[in-house]
Amino acid sequence: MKIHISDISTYLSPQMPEVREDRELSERIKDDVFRKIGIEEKKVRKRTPLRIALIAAAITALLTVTGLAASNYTMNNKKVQEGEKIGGIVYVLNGDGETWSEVKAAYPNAGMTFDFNGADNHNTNQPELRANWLPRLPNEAHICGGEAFADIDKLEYSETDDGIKMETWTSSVTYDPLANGAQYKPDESEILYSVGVSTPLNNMTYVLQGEVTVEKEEDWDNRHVLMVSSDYKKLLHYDRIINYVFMFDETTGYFVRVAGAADMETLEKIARNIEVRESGTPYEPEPAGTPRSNICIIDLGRG
Amino acid sequence: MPNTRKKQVKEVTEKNLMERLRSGDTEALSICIDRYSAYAFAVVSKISGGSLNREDIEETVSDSFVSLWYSREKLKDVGLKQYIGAIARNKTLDRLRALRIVLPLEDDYIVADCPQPEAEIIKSELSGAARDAVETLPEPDREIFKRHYFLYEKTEDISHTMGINASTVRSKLSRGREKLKEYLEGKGFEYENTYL
Repeated sequence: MKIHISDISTYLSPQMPEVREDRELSERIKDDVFRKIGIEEKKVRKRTPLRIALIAAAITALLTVTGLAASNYTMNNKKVQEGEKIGGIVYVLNGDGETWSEVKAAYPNAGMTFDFNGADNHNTNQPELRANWLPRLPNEAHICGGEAFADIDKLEYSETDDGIKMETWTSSVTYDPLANGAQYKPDESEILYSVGVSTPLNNMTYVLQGEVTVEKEEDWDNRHVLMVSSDYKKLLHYDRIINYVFMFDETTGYFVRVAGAADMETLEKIARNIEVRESGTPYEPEPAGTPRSNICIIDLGRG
Repeated sequence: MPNTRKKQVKEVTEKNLMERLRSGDTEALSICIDRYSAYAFAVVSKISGGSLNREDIEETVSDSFVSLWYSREKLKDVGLKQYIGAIARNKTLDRLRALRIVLPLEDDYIVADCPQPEAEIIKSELSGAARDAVETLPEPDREIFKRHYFLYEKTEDISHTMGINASTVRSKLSRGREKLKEYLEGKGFEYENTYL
């Protein structure tokens, strides 16, 4: 029997972005489907959002009174087990906000995942941070801030007894020996520290790659803190170990990453002295064509 | 740091929808029909290419959702849209076969030639591999390949719908077939009498 390409194309459903939902069609199809499966559609369970909201409010009130008020946001981090597959889908939306294409994203080198319950949308402004302690390093020209590594904003700082203190609020602060056009030198050009903050939305997953070792896990006030190191040599053939301090604030949903080639003690001290607040900058909608996903990597890199 | 200024994507809701379908939630089926009946209609309509009237097309669509309902416990991690598309396609081809209507498709090369008892198993293996191979194609090559071999859409129609020159559509189809062949060979699928 001859097998043609069309015979093996069963799972090749195209996107067809030109197709729009058709309310009248779907009502007719529903009538027919429910008749065929023997269920009257009016018996279909409907949500009762008001009742659910009242129950939720009652539970929250009870927990508050008993001092066990639930956090607004949660993070669940876990190491990836051998054989476990981590992946997701990246969407590209067209100008109407509908899916144009989907690409499967696989993370075969995932070492740890962070799953979040957060807000469904960004209803507040973007967060910003200020580092009240950073190690004094030989060349302050390598300190840069802003969202992208290419964004070499001048950050103002003052001297302390054993380091420096940022005076500027920013979305991130990084000590990158390659900043400001410096020349690359092997063993001397690793990013020593990089601090950034994000607000993961509901059902977002962050992936940390490499062979991950948990050094410490504890709570600092409202923040859950995880200190890990990731060895990239075995999995990614990149001979380096990067240390990470992750802090998640359960009341605000802010997620801070302090990462770098510096030792864990230094990164921990940076983390303990980070302040985070809501900035005056709102989130802006992204243009059509921007890839979107609810899973992404959070490894330190230069992009 | 990851840019979390991303809107809530539909995939999360689809995952919940699949879980609810599996658990027998009829409201989930209702949502599914709202969301994908037009898509299923388009699949049936394009494949049948005028051979079925509107009533027959709608009946095929509703049969597809009935099949989805009865096979809901077997729903795997293939996207719902893809799954419904596959069911709708199969239902349409069955209906056309019953009416003895043959769909001519240009460039429908032979991938394998094997004895009947083994053919279904081999087809199933190759279908999975073809899905993986086609996912490696960049856009718009992927959409073009899918429209041609899944929807039986002619190159001229693809050219018109996607606003791409017809000869470009044909050359992208040719590249898609090369990629499919490379992928299948790389995975150890080697059959006699293939013409890819």
